[in-house]
Amino acid sequence: MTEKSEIIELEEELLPEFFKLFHNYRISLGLHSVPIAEEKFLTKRFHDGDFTVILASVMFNSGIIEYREYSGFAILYPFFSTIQLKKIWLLNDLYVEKKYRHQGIGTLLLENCISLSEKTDSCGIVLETLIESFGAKKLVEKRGLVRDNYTYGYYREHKK
Amino acid sequence: MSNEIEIIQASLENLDELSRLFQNYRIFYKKEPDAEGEKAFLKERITNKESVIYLAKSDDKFIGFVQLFPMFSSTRVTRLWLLNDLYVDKEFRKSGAASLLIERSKQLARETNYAGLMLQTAKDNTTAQSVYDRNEFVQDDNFYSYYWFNK
Repeated sequence: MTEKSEIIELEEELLPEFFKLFHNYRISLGLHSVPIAEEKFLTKRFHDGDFTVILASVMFNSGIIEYREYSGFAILYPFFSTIQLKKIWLLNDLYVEKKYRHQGIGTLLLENCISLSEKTDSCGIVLETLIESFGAKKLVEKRGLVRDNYTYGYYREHKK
Repeated sequence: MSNEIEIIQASLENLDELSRLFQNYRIFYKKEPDAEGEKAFLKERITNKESVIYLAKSDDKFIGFVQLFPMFSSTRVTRLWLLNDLYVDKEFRKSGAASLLIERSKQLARETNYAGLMLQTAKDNTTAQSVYDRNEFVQDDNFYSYYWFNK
């Protein structure tokens, strides 16, 4: 049996696989998961071209049969840096399935995000990671992302 | 003396006035003025509807702007506006223009049925922080920001 990790950009027929990963991602964050709302949200983003999603997959080959499992994803949203006057990518979500962790898949996804940002004439990538999420912190620092001690994040939700 | 401040959505008609404010804003962030690049950048965002920009106007003078980008939150499964840039000319800082621009941004979130607004601001920019605090923003201590820049 051989195993090979591959990165694939999300396509229409892979949406059901992506939904499954996204569902697990939200559960791993301790969030209440509502599959119908998630699928509606992701389908809309996909059809409106709002984001770029890359999927990590593992290809198994036993010599007789070959099959693929999906192991993780990264979601990137484009926006613009007014300081650099260029496109910039927000790496909003990065997830690897539990049983595939510590195999370099997160790094592989991150490297593909970086090469996407280079290919698209952008000035780079920005991401936010939960302070408690040490796995993510170590990973991004290892890949040369710089922590920003300079800014505070703020948000405001309007009341319905 | 207090003049009425009016908030309007920026269009290509206001490109020159907007570019001037945008340049002052970038100078505040220690960027070299780049009149051509700045104007082209704003023109593209407006033409491609990639951002929403509001201008504050006092009498016939444009005195500030706010620029918002549409964003999404996977954890909330919802849309948010990223309030990316907010600027008011120095001599109008105490005029209430910033609050009016923020109020118009909140209105945008309501009109478009987005969940809210998000933004980042420099830790040493206490003036900006007090504006956001006054306007009911909550500081988020749960995240670290990271950047990776192409050379």
